[in-house]
This record gives sequence, structure tokens and C-alpha cells, in this order.
Amino acid sequence: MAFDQILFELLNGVVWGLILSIIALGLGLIYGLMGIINLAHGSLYMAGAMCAALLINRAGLDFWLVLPIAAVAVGLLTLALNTAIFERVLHRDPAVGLLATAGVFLTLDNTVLALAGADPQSVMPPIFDVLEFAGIYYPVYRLVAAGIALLTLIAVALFLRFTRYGLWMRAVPQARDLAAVTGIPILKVNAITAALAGLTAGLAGALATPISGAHFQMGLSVIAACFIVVVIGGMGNLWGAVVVAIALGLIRGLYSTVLSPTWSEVAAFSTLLCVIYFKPNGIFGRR
Amino acid sequence: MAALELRHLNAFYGKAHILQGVDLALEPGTVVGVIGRNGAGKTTLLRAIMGLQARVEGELELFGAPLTGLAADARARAGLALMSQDMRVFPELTVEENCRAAAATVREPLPLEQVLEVIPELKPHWRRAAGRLSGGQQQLVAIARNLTVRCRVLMLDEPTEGLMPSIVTRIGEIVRRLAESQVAVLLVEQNVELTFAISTRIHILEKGRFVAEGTPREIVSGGLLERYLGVSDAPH
Amino acid sequence: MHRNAISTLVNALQAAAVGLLLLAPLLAGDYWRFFFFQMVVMAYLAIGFDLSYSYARILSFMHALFFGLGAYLAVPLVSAAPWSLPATLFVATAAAGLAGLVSGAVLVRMENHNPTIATVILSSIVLLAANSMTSVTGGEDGLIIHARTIGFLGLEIGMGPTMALYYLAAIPLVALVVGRLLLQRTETWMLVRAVAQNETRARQLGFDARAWRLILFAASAAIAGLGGVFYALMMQHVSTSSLEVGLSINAILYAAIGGLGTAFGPLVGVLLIYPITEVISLYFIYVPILVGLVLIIVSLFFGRGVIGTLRSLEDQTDHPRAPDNPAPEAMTHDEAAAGAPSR
Repeated sequence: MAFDQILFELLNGVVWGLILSIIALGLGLIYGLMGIINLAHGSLYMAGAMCAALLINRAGLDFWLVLPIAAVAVGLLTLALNTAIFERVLHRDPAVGLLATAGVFLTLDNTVLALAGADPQSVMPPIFDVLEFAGIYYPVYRLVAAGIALLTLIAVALFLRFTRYGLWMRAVPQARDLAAVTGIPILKVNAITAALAGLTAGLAGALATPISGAHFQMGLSVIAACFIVVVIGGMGNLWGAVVVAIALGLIRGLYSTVLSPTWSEVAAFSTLLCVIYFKPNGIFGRR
Repeated sequence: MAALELRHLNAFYGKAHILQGVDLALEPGTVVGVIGRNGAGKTTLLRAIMGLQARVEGELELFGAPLTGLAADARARAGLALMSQDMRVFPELTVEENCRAAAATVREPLPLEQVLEVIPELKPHWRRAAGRLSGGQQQLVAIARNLTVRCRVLMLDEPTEGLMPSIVTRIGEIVRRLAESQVAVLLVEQNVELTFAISTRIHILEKGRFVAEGTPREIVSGGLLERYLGVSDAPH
Repeated sequence: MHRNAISTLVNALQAAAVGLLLLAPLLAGDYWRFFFFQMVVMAYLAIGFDLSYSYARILSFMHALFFGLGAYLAVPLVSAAPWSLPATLFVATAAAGLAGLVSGAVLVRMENHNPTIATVILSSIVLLAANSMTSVTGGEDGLIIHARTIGFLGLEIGMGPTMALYYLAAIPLVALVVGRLLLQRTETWMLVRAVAQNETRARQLGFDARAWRLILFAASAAIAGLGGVFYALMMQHVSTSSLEVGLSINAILYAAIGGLGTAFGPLVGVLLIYPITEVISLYFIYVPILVGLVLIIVSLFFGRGVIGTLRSLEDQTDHPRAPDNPAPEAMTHDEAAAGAPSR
């Protein structure tokens, strides 16, 4: 195995891990704030990707214009889901949220199928340049996508650290009743959380489109990856999830030096599933 | 106008009828103590007023404005505060962040410097995670949060349970000061001595009903403590 | 009085379900037999899910995997040899049960929501792998079973939705449902079930609740696998679409609407919902959109029917009542239980 190929695959792993981490971040935020396991989270990512692909391929819009549109569109969609579903699930048996969001997953995926068809959509990357270093040629767009994902992580971290709503978003999961008694407007905080989670999932989907294409079923493998990452990272531990997401990307990168893309994904999932076996409640878990 | 007024408040827990028609008017600047046996409904009373109890019937007014239908967080922003031993702090936030999380909920919070003047004990721990402080210090953080939001009605549920006597005295002192600044205080406390020391009036709750009320002196001289609580060593 | 009226209605509904299943195909034509056959197959899957949720306490999104496993195993085993049908049924059921045992061994050790999440992860990993192993699974195009007949102790039974195959599938289903009803009426079962709800109490009584949950999960997987075999024999075709999480969600919907934790619930749910979706699919091909919407509505507004079961089971230990109440009645009776502290 040549070094340059390993490097190439590892880079791919980091790119994918960063994109995955901003999706998992949203899943973790929704779980932390509302106690809801959003089975439809992969579908939000898919919605962002399909929205981007269709706007580029059918409406002929520019990628850099489409990126924020897709993110905002999915953010609004998730805001609507919050009002219609998440708010009604709060304080109820977790199974209610699981079944309701399973319903959302079926509805969203198949609505996209009905509207856009089953053919995979592929999108040209907005940057065709290739960077040559350490004996490999690496597509610049992937580095840019990874950079945008990283900036998003930083922006979310700054938001949580320095804004009023960020402070409340950190406070609520720690003590829900106390948050209410303190006067924190929990429903508003929940709505902003949902919008933020949708925004990041939609952004991730749009970012991934030039790399992996878009397809109405692409959410399912992402939801599996997100769940693995969030469970191992420790439910409600946001930065643990980010670390594990990047680790998952790297592990997948390593496997793909010897396996086909699908098999390396299966192998990476299975590897982390073993971790769950020995640490059923995560490695950075706190509750 | 009463700071807090309850008219025929009822609360249910499943099929159990916990509060059975409680009436109460709480004036600004007074401390009203509620005493009663375990299971009399004291905690339920405070949770029902705060809006944390699921099934509540009856009328509730804060300075004449009805609270019915408002969620707990809206009641808190209207000036109602509840301190309870099972929810003192956000453990992973610093003391400062605990206070800022509360201050951010109101338009004109009491500046945090002034809060620290009232509770200087918190200064050395300002940037520590609140969950690592002792129980007494956490209780002071809770008071600090309610100072910064300038709460108008403060409800305390067993504020001194499990705390050291020196902190108990300190909390009593701060509560008295709050009352002097026209805050209405509703105090539920096992510590009979503290209750009698700082309360203006005392109500006795039994099986979800107020069965007696009076000044601390009247309660003691009427022998009501022995009658309802089986306490014979009443404070003098 | 009210209670009696409901239980009469319930008994009538249950008898009607069994009667419909056993008699309707005799009277109707080929198309309707095919239609009923699909409902029989789905009922196996829904019962599998319900056993897992109500008794093994695992909200599973992976039962389609056991169903698909059973279906795929039928492909190499079908032939005209006299042992073929018994062998197919046995091997597929046993393999699905074993798969349930292995995956369940991990799931019953997990806490909170993690088992459910793990079933979603497993579902998508297996689907991903199956779709890429086209040489083995045939991918989304699937594999065709070419045999025209299957041997059964000297008889040769026609493949597809034939009358004989229909009853070979429907009679065990009825036996399963009725058997469960009888079993649930015994006192031992009620005790066992009540104890399994509370692992701490179970341990105190020297009862291994975890092992009990594991066995039930394996059984639920085996039942889903059995449904898969009949599906393969009827369709004469198996593809990776039988592994999809969407199929599991369908089964969940049937069981939830019919009444979780009740012997007849999953079957009644299938008989109610499947015909509706079939009719709609004549006019609107994207049925999963509607299934999703119905699932949202059922879980949001009839949540107590879905969820109340576990709690009503606890309730039953204090006030024994007929354990076969269908969901609608269970919903109204759970008021008090649902208001009680959950932890």
C-alpha cells in the first residue's frame, strides 16, 4: 500500500468526518435540549443535498448561492417540524418521539422521491482545481468543504459560548425544571435549537453534494453514522460527538485503502459498533 | 394589592387530590411561613403556584395579573421565583454563567456587581463550575440568580435542608433583607426555629388544606403546633 | 356495563378477524387470496415487532432484517424434494431466531434509548452491505425462485399465492395468535411479564429478567423470519427491499394501531390498515408518505395507546383484568397509570 494512497484516503476521512460532525452536532443538540431522538435527522441532511442538487441542476443556480439557500430552507423545515411535532413530544415517553420522527423520516424521504424521482443527482464541484502535495493530487473543493464545516463548528461553539441563547442552550439540558423556574423561555430556546440543527444538517447536505451526489435515500446511512457518533460520544456531550465523528471518518478512510467504499463504511460502522458493545453508554458520556 | 393571591387552588397528582381549595393572600414585604407534616402538600403548593404541577385548578394572581395559563418560565419572568433544594444550580455552568443565564431573562437586571455586594461569599468562586460548590454555596448562587432578576415574590422550599447552621443563619438574614426591600416571601421550611424567627404570619397546612393561621406568637400560644404537628419543643 | 359492551365488541372483533382470515380466501378469487396472503405475512412481522416491544422491551427498527433473512434463506432451500418445505420453514425460522439471539444479547444490555438506536444502526449497516453484495442478494433487483412447486412430505405444493400455501401460512398464524391469547390468560405468564418490567424487582426475586427478555427477543425474530419465508414462497422473488427499515416501520404502525401488547392487536392492525393503503396505492403510488403521516398522528395523539401498554402491565399486577384488551380500551384505562411518576 502506497503512502500517498493512504494519505488520500485519510484526507477523505477527515473531510467526511467534519461534515458528519456538523450533522451529529444538530442531532446531539436536539437530544440534549428536548430529549428527542430525531430519526428524521438523516432526512434533513438528504433534504439539504437534494435541494442543492435540484437548484443547481434544474434551476441553473450557482453553487455558492445555493449553499446558504439549502441551509436556510432546511432550517425553516426543521423549525416547522419543531412546532408541529417536537413541541408535542416534550415530556412524553421517548417512544412517542421515536415513532413520530420515524413517521417524519418516511414522509420526507418519500416526498422527495415523489417530487424529484429516484435517480441519483450529481453536481459539478464549484472548484475544479487540484492541489498537489506529498505526492498526491487532492481536489481543492473537498478541502474547502472541510474548511466550511470546521468554520461552522467554530461558529456554533462561539454561539454557545458568547450569546444569551447559547448560554441558555447549555443550561437547559443540565436542569430542565430549574431552567423553567429561572425564566428561560424554553420553547423559544427549543425553536432556535431546532432551526440551528436544521441549518447545519442542510448545510452539510449541500456541502456533500459535489462529493457524493444526492439521492432520496442518502439520509439512512448518515443517520446510522450520526447515531453511532452520538452514542459513542456520549448522549448530550456535543464535543465528544465531534471527536468521534472525525475518528469515524478516519477509520473509514483507513478501511477504504483496502476495501470498496461501501464495504469500508460497513466495516467502520461495525468497528464502532464493537465500541458500543463494550461501552454501551459511550466513552465521553456524562449521564 | 396583594403580591400573590390564590383563590380556591386545587392540585391533583394522578387520582390523588393533593391541594383541596387553598386560599392565600401574600402582601409585599411580608414573609409567610407554611408548616405542616410531610405529605401535607407543601411542595405541591409551591410547584402549583410556579406552574410546574400538571393538574391545577383555581385562580392565581400576581399583583392582580392572572397567572393561569402561563407556563413556569413566563411566571418567572413576571417576577415569581422558586428556590427548591432539588434544583439549586446549573452544575456545569460557572457561578457567573448561572447568574447571567437568569439576568438575560429580564429587561433590567440588577447588575451582577451589586449582587456580589449582597452576597460577597460568591466572589472567590465566580468562575468555578457551580456543581463543585458546597450545598450552602449553591443555595447562595440560587439566591443570587433571584436577586439579579429582581423577583417580586420569592418562594422557598426547604431552603436550609442539609445545610450548616452558619449558612442557615446567613440565608435567614438575606431573606429578611429581601422582605425589607418589599419582596413578598413564601417560606416552606422544616426548620421551625428559622420559620418562626423570620415569618410575619404562619399558615398550617394539613391534608391539602390550611387549617390554622396567625402570627408566630399566636401559633405558639394557641398550642397549634402540638395540635397539628406534634411538636412540643416550640421555640420561645 | 360499559366494560361488558367493550369486551363483547372486542370478542366479536377478534372472532371476525380469525373468520375473515380463514374463510374469505375460500370464497374470493385469486386476486383476493394474494391480498390476504400479504396480510398474513405482514401480521407475522407485526407480531414479531410487538413481542419485542411489549415483552423484550426493545423498540426495534430491525425486524425487517429477520423477515428478510427468512425470505432469502428460502431461495436455496425450495425444491420438489419431500423435505423441502419443512426444511425451509425450520432453517429460516431457526436462523432468524439465532440472529435475534446474537443481536439481542447486545441489545438487552443497553440502557435508555440506546437499544433502539442500535437497531437503526444495524438495519442500515445490513441494508448497505446487502445492497453491495449483489452477487449474493441480487441487490434491489433481487433473486427469483424458479421452482414451480415445493415438496411437503410426498405432496407437491404449488408456489405463489396458492390455496394450499395460503392455509399453510394462515393456520400457524391463527394458532400463534390464539395460543398467545391463552398463554396471556395464565397466571404464570402475567407474573413473568410483570416481573420482566422491573429488572430490579426481578433480581430480588431471583429471576433473570434479562435472559427472559433475550429469549423473547429471539422468539420475536424467529416469528418475523417465519413471515419472511412465507413471503418468499408467495412472491417467488426476494430482494433487498425486504430488509428496509421502512418495512419495519410499517410493522410498527400495524402493531401500534391494533394495540401493543395484545394478542390480536397486530393482526387487527394489519387487517385495518393494509386494505386502506392498498386502495390508496391504486390512486397514489407514494403510499409511504401516508404511512409516515399516519404514524406521526397515531404517536402524537394516541400516544397512550402506543405507550400506555407497558404501564398498564404494571397496573395489571394490582388489578388483574383480561390481558387481551385491545388498544382503544387500554388507552382509556391508563389515565391513572400514565399520570404516575415514571421514574
